[in-house]
Amino acid sequence: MWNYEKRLEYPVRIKKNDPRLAKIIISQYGGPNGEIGASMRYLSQRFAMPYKEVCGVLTDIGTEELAHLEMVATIVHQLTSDLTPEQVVAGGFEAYYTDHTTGIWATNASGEPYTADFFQSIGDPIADLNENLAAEQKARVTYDNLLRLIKDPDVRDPIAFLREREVVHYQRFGEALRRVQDHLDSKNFYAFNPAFDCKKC
Amino acid sequence: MNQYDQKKLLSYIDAVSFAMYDTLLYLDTHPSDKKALKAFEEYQSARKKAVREYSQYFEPLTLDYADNRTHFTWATSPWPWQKEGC
Repeated sequence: MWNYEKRLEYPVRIKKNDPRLAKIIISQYGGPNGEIGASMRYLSQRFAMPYKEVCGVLTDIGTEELAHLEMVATIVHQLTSDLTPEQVVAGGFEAYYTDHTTGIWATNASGEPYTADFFQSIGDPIADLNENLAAEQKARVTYDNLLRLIKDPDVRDPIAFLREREVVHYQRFGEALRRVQDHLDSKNFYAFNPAFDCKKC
Repeated sequence: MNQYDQKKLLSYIDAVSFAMYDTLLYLDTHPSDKKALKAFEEYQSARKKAVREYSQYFEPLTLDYADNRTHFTWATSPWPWQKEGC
């Protein structure tokens, strides 16, 4: 289960609205490399993970991703607060505004909705952890792409924090993969699927 | 304590919680690292004390400290995504 803590993992205090930035940053909420996909990926993969310490990594990183999706939504919310209809048009925000006003909805930067296809959970520890390593790098690249387009330091600061966390998560998943391999036959890690072929529980 | 102290205490809680959480992720893959175990314990006890103090003087951060004496401030105090003054 989860308990809510009434604060953000890292503070977001944006003074100036900017619908143009909101429109691209929303991708890290509901886009292909976004935080909803990240949290669902790790929290779902836990159930087929036979090794307790790796269940710890998946639970704790999956939980941190929930805090990240709250931060991304907060950034978008503050970037779209007090918008005038003129600003909606000038910022190219009309399409999103028409369907969602300034509510938060899970979409990528070009308006395609979130889908479970954005993450994988294939029920094999080596395959799942390699998926996670790639996912962390892709999220890091997306934050790098955003940082090249963002000038406002109030927006850059929390985005830079989120980017840095992708690097740390990549490191932890690399260690988790090494731990999984320690449990397997070093002559052939792929001889069988430890989540399926040797059930004890 | 005043509003200035509230901001300062919350940013301390953010920092010490982050330190604890980052150490937690490290401990998941290094469960016997003595230095990390000690650091985790220090961050954990500092965080516990600060969260309790914040809830006592200002607003509850977790349901464990939700105030039910006269008015349920869990719901009526500002939410983290709201801009100041909203």
